[in-house]
Amino acid sequence: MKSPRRLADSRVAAVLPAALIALAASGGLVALAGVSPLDAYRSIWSGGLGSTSALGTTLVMLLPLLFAALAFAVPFRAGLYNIGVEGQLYLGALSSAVVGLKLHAPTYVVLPVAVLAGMAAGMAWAVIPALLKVTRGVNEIVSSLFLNYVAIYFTNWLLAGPLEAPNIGVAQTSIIPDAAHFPVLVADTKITYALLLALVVVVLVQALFRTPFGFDLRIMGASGKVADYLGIRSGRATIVAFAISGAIGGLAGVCEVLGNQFFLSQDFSPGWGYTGIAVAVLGGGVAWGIALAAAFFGVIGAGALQMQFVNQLSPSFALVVQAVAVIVVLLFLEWRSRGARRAADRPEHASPAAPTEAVEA
Amino acid sequence: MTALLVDAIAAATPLIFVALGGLLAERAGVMSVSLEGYMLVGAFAAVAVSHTHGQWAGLLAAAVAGTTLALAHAYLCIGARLNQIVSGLALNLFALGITGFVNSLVFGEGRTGTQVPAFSALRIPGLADIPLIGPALFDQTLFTYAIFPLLAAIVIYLRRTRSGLALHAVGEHPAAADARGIPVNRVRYAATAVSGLLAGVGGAALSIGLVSSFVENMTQGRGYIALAAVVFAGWRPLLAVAACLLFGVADAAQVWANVLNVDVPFELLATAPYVVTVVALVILGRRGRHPAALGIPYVRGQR
Repeated sequence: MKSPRRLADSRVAAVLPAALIALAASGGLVALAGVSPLDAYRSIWSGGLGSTSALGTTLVMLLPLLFAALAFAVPFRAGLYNIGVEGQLYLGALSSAVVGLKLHAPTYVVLPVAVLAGMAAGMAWAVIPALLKVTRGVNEIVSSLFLNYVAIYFTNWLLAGPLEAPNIGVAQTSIIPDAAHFPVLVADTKITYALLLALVVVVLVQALFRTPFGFDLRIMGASGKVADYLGIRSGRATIVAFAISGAIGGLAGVCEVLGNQFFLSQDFSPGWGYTGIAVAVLGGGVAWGIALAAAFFGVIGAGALQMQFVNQLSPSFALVVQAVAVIVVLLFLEWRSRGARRAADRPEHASPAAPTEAVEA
Repeated sequence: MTALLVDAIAAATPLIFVALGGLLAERAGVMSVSLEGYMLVGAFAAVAVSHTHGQWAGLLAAAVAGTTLALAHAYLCIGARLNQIVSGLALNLFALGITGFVNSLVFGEGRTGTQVPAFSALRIPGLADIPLIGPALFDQTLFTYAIFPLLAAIVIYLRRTRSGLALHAVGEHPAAADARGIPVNRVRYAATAVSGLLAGVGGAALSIGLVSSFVENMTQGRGYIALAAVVFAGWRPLLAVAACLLFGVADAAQVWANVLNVDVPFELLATAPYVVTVVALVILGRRGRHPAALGIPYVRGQR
């Protein structure tokens, strides 16, 4: 019987082969388009990894995904689904943009206030489905998904009216003043201190999973009944997990607006909240696995832009590679854990397969 | 008012196909987050094939494309026993990518899609002259007319046929169904395939019914809305159709508020169906019960 820890490691180890298989399989798609797969891979390399500026693009592209994936991962530990990260990142972006636009003060005041405002907005929005689940038994998948639309339309309404920049004719805010921007970390790139913030969150999430609270979440995910027997207050844990999740989800929007775009426009997110779920799964639900998976998504995303530029191929290619990678990883892990379960079922070690499932859930 | 109803039913039509498909799969115990993906590949296949072979071939292609993706979902959920929500979301990502990619190959990178042959409104003389509801019900595309027999068939199937009861048993208590000799996984495969077929047709109802072109991500979450309609309706077909109509009305009201320059901010109006659904779920609370075995793969001898 493998320890949960080692199984978690093997999940992360599965990311790389899955990524390679997905890339190889998607080569066929490129060939279909009449482009040599090797040329396409060369573009992905040069666009995603090959130079300082390529690395910069990759890191900027992966940030919102990384936050979104971490946000999803926290309640997912307990088998809970926060499908509402998209809405949380919209409201996070909105609040931080408003602070950045309206609060005129030096960076060391504006930036922290804007970041906290964004986290608070995301948190508040995420707590709603958790409360509805705990008090009324409303399925959190449906309620959190639906709140996305409410958040997005609400943001769009503000952007088309009260917050609309004058004399542009496009529904977006004015440019946010420099004081609220994340300072640049690496000169001549778009890499800002937002990247450091992301690394801190990765470490914090990993640490959270090792606290007693993190362990409670894992037990809840494995079996609600066991959690009840152990006296875990599942309701409270659900709300806390969603609050943390929402705060991190808010950061996805904050870092994009104050670290990359510097204004907020309608439909500013290409669905990071949803893609983040795929990243979280690819990363095995473990913080540093998620960082690795986000890096993969970032490289493919930035590489696909280069492919569009050099090989005239649609950047949608990236989505195909990413989706295939996720499915391959899931299949691989299921196949492995089935093997482990079969070994556990043999009479000489007739121990229940609970720990395996704890990690899976 | 009449025009609003016409638009509302037109907007609800694709949703209804997708929702009815999702309902069948979910009643059999297979989660259908991937409805969005089925619908999207259906919408694209319909346009791509209609472009060269006409709308009827397009419709067929949509059904085939939706069914194919659904079979992949069925394999991942039933055969490989993956997490059904996650694999469904991954398939949606795949559908978004593959349709965007192939679309740019077939039609080139364009903001507006190429116009292709599509189904136009077919006015039924006489009935369409009934005041108020006449045009809404009898001046629509074939898709809308097909809903009536489809809905009747599904209601009768679920309530009155042996196979429909088997579907129900498989979703509620697969072990008992298995003991009665019902092939649980085969029923689930079939239900999922049919859900893909219907959702694919729903995609066609959008791309070669409501409009006549494809743009990237044109379903824009309609698959999720259809799924929500199913949940909202407590997995009952008539209510699911009613829920889709509610979304259709909200959709049409938005457009009309915009056109008529009514002083209601249409973005806020657009949130209405979502808010209403969440409130309804709150009121229903724990009574809104889902099929007992929803999302749980069946393995004989395992509880």
